[in-house]
Parts: sequence; C-alpha cells; structure tokens
Amino acid sequence: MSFSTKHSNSSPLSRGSTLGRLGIQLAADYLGFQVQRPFLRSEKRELKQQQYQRRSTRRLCQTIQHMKGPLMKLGQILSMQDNVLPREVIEELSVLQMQAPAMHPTLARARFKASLGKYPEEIFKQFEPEPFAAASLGQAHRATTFAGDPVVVKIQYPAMAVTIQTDFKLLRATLKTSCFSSYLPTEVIGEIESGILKETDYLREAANVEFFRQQLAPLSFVRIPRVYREFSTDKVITLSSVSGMSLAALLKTKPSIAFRNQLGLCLLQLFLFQIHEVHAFHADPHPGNYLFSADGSIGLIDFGCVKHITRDFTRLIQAFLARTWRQDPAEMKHMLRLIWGTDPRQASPEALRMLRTEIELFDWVFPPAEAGLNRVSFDNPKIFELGLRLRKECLGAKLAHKEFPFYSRAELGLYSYLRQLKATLDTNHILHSIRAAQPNM
Amino acid sequence: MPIKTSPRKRNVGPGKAGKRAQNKETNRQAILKAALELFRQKGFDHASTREISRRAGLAEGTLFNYFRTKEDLALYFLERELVELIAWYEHPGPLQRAPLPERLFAIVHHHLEQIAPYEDFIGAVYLRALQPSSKLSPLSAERRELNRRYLSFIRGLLAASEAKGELPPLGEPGAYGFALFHLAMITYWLNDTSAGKENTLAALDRCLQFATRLLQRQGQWDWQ
Ligand SMILES: Nc1ncnc2c1ncn2[C@@H]1O[C@H](COP(=O)(O)OP(=O)(O)OP(=O)(O)O)[C@@H](O)[C@H]1O
Repeated sequence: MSFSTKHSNSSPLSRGSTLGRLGIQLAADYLGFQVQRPFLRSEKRELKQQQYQRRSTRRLCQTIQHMKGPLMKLGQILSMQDNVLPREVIEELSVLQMQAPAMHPTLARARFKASLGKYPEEIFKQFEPEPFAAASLGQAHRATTFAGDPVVVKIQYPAMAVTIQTDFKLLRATLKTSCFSSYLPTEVIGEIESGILKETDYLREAANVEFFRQQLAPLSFVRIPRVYREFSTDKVITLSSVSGMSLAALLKTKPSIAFRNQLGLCLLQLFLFQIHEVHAFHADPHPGNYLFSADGSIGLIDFGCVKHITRDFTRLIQAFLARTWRQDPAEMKHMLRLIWGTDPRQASPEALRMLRTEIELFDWVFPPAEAGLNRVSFDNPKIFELGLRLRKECLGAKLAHKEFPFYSRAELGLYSYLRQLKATLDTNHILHSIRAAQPNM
Repeated sequence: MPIKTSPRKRNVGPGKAGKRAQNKETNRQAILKAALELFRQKGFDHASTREISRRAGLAEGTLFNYFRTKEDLALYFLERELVELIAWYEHPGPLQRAPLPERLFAIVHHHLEQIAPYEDFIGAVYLRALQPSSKLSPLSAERRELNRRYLSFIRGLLAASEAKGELPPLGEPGAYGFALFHLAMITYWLNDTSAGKENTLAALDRCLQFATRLLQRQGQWDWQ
C-alpha cells in the first residue's frame, strides 16, 4: 500500500487557496492534521504499517527538532494538539516540548539597539533585562516608559527570516523521503513558509492591534493594548501592558455562577461582534491571549493572526443564521454554492458531512424557536465535541472560503472557553442584540 | 568621534620624565584621532601621512617620531581597542555573573560596537593583515605583544570557567580557538549586509551556545 498519491490533491489548501495568510498556530493545526491523516485510515491496517508511519513521524520530529527557529515552536504546538492527534503521534512529538531560542540579556539588549538605534535604558525609565514570557519568534520584556506607563516590549530573535527559510529547506528535504510528502505538497509548504515569514514583521502586528483597538472600542469590557509606535520597528514592538490572568487561573479563584455567565456573555458578544460588525476577527484563541480580570473585563493580546472576512463569507454566515434556506431548495442551492463555490452536486461527501455537522452545531448553540429553549448550557460536552468534529472535517474538506479554517478555529476556541466557564447563556438574545445594532442585516 | 582614554599602561610618576611621557601619549592620541577621522573620510589607503599630521596640528616629522607608517598607526589602534575591551570587561557589573556564552558574546559584541564607526578602516586593516609581510599580520613580531595580552585575557577567563566545572579543561588551545573564532566573527561582521547586522548577532549567539554545549559534552554529540 502506498501513501504517495491517494490524497495528493484533496487538500483544501493545496488548490489555489492562499495559506499565505496563515498564522503559525493555524499552520500547525494544518500540519498536525496532515500528520495524523495516515493514522486516521490506518485503524484496520497491520501493525507493520503503523510502525512505518511511526518511523516516519519520528524522522519528521527529528528534523523539526534540529531546527532552531519557529519550526521548533511549530513542533511544540503540534505536540499539544491532544484533541486532534492520535496518541502515537503525540508520544513522538512530545520530545519537541521545548522553548524557542531564548536571548540572554546581552543579546536582547544588542538586538534592541540594532533595531531601534538606542539601548533600552536610553528609551525606557526601567527595562527588565530578563524576559517574562516567550513569544513564537522572540521574547517579551517588561518596561516602564519615562512617562511612567508600564509596557511590554516584544523583541524578535535576530535573523529569524533567514532561519525560517533554512528550516523550511530542511523540512522539504526530509518530507521528500517520508510518507508525509503526499499530505504536505510542496506548494502548501511554500505557503505556510510565507505565512510564517510575514509574522516576522511586527509592524504588521502593530497595524492589527491598532485596527482592533479602534474597532472594538464600543465593547467597553474589552481591553486592547496601545502601540507605542515611537518604540516599535519591524523587529521590536512596544505595547501597553495588559493585565489579567488566564482562564485557568481565574477558575481557581472559584468565581460565582453569575460572574461566569457574565464572562461567557462577554466572550460570545466579543466573538459575534467581530464577525458581524468588524468583519475581521482575532483567530488565535490560545489560552495565553485572553487575560481575565476580577472586574469582568477581558484583555485581548497577540494580534499576529488576524483574519479579515470577505463580503461573500459575511453573506454566507448571514444566510446561515436566517435558517430559511433549509426549507427552500433554491436558497439551499445558493447556500451550497456560497460554501463550495461550485455546483453543489459536485460537493464531496466530506464537504456535505461538514455541512451537516455545522447545522447540528448551530442548532445546539442557537436553538430554533420550536425547541422552546432559551438558555444554552455550554457545560454540555456535545457542543465542544461537535466543534471539534467540525474543525477536523473543515481541515479535510475542499472549501471555497479560506476563512473557514480560521473561523472554525476561533469558534472552537470560544466553545472551549464557554465550556470551561460552565456558562449558561441566552444565546439567541445575544445574537439578536448584536444584529439589531447593525442596520444592514 | 571622541576616543575614550585607556587606562595607563605604565605607572607614570611625577617629574620631568613623567610629564614627557604624558605629552607623548597626548600627541599619540591626537594623531590617532586625526587619522581615524581621515580614514573615515578617505579610506585607509587614500589618507596620506601629511594630511594626518596637518589635521593633528603637528609637523610631519613629529608624526614620524611616533608612527613610522600608517600600519603602525593601525597597530596602535588595535592595541588601544584591546586595552579598552579588557578594562570594560573587568569593570564590575551583572555581566560578571552571567553564564560563559553570554560573557563571550558580550566581549565580541562590545568589540564590534567599538570598532563600528571605523568599519572601512578595519576592513582595510584586515586586508593588509592577510599579507604575511605586513606588521598587521597576526603572526608578525609587532603583534606578538598584542596577541600575548589578548590570549592571556581569554585564557584567564576560560580557566575560571574550567575551575568552576563550567567547561572541561581546555588549556591554551581553548584561548587560541576563541581567538580564531573572534577573528572569524569580525570578518563575518565586515561582510554582513543584513539590517542592523542582525545576522552577526544570530551567528555569534548560536555559535557560542553550540560550542559551549559541545565542550560541556566533551565533544560527544549526536550528529546523526
Ligand atoms: N500587551 C501585553 N500585555 C501583557 N502581556 C503581554 C502583552 N503582549 C504580550 N504579552 C505576553 O507575552 C507573551 C507573548 O506575546 P505574544 O503572544 O504576542 O507573542 P507571539 O509572538 O504571538 O507568541 P505566541 O505565538 O507564542 O503567542 C504572551 O503570552 C503574554 O504573556
């Protein structure tokens, strides 16, 4: 049995769609999915086959391990996909749980100067030489401006772009000789590479932060950092410090049901507002990116992965919300065309399965009137499970919209948060309040 | 660009002889300052000794008393940079407590920062140094004293790490090895066209981290 040709063109991302705008996290999701693909179909295969797969995985891991830059981080992300990846792969990938290259204080300081032209102590009243957090491409330091503002300075490890290019050359060479080559075609690898390369420009991130800070201003419970442009370059970004704790830390304080529901309400509002009002969303629901406060406000950081939604995709979501299309064959056809961009009769079984899952999930989250439900409990594991299934199917199906993988990722992140909060929400009411505020819907 | 005064090499007491030595040092520095300015404007090869002496406000003959050739001037420059580097490193501060790769990084990086304003001049010096007959060649008799001082500085630093068990015993070859690496990094830096010379920073850091780890493993490395 050969793995080499079977799925070579069934990848949703290999045909004309642009992976270029993928963030590192999504790239990892995608790679993770592709890595597990042989396993998905191998349940009934003999052990020998699995061992071969395993050997290949190990080889791939070793390659990633030898890389110095963000691909190491990629390996780390892959190894954390415990919801998506089978156990064998996770075992192999667990060796990759390591830090991205750290900079000692002398290097961080030299790097800062090379990019901004001055040493940190010349620009800040106070600068902590040791980082307090790692970032995918560098590290974050705390500092205080001469005006007295507490800030976070993210400094990128030097020569990251060259490193990424070298790492990808190595990755390509390894893939050529492994069973994964068919799941990771060269053009896909190329697009992932260019996506990661784009993240080396912190000015892009600065623009994203400013955009969201302005757009989300109507939501008073959201805190978005301010960019200190005068202390930022493409390799160093200075942001106002956002306080708060991770959801896990917050839950340890045993918050009341009312408070958890309040936070859940805010999170759902935040998500819907981004989709329906801003037409762009924060696509990286990584636990470190949402910072919760006791006052109920939510800090949002890390705008490296932001997705802007096209008009078509907005129309698709609006049509989906209206539900009428399910009864009307003509509308249904239109809907399917919106989803796949082709004649719906050509839609693959995989894609149709995905649509069914999406409908089921949607009905759970926004129950139809006839269900007589006005509060949805996100404690119900069904919602998260469906979200997860949708996520997998979405990575496997051929879709016309590049937004889908990002959207399903952000959506799954939301359900994961709501589930941890054990929130019970009147979801339809929240949805209608957001849509009512928007005249053209 | 002001030149930082280096710590006195010899203990100069008061009196006539002392005063004369002080004058000599002042002149030497004035000449070097003038020369470096000219090298920056015209390049090492195109600046003449006459122009240097005029800029320093001295007769050409006086200049000759101090430096017979431009190469002697370059040698003096290298020496002063080294003295400054050692003094900077030995100045007490948090760096003293840093791990070895960071301290070695700091040494090369500080050196590069010091010579950065004279990049073209250093480039010319390096080209000259490749000629075995040049006084600037690392093997020349004129550079022996400079080399000795540098090597003993590095040797002392590595020996302290060896005593702490941070490194296996390397002995003299350790210092020679680092000297070669230091030279290679300067050459790399001279040719580095990346923004802010970021490639040099990355190469410097990675090589030192890797070499230290390799040495700590006594050369045992799974190269695959
Ligand atoms: N404005 C801020 N206020 C407080 N902490 C911050 C801020 N920006 C970044 N951080 C901290 O720095 C860490 C890394 O920053 P960020 O997530 O933006 O980097 P990244 O390069 O996108 O890395 P990753 O992909 O790992 O999230 C965050 O997890 C967070 O702990």
